[in-house]
Amino acid sequence: MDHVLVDGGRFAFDEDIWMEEVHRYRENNAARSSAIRARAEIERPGSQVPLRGCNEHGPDGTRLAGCAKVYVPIGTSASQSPYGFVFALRADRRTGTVELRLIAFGERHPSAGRSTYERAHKRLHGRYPDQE
Amino acid sequence: MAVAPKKLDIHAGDVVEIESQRYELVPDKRGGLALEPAATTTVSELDRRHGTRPSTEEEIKAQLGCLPRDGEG
Repeated sequence: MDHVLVDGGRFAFDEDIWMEEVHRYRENNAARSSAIRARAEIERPGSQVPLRGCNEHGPDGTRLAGCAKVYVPIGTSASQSPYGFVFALRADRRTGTVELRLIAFGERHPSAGRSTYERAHKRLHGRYPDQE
Repeated sequence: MAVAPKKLDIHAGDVVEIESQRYELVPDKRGGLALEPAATTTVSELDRRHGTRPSTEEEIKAQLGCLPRDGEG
């Protein structure tokens, strides 16, 4: 199995991150529409979301230890999912409950601009991999 | 007629706003610079905001299971 199923209730979306990641695409853009549909699926009560771990050291120079990803559209094969959400795995300081907080959305393999992995790296480390 | 470019005193790392959209000036991996939609809120800021910390491997394994990786990123 190339993923595990995780309760959608563990996923969290901050609106400023959502605006920067999803609303950077124009309205009616395929990426933006896909993200909106995927978020609705994740937030549907009782949802089980296919989750994969991110690499501690990616082939593109990204370092995403403690992160996980959901390919978008959800429920299709990896080769049919051009986009992805990257979530940071954080634990509540009081309870230790693990939550998945959105830190990036975008194309997995863009022809131009930064990938969703590079944008996640930027939020984690403060700069893009090639700026280090 | 050639368009006269606007000269801006901005540098890599600066954030600019164009038509209500914020962009950061970043290296374009080819020796030049490009405008990338800004990614300004950091994970550290999210931790401060929500009272969280990085999850440990043990917590992840116990609560989510072993997460498969596919080597992509």
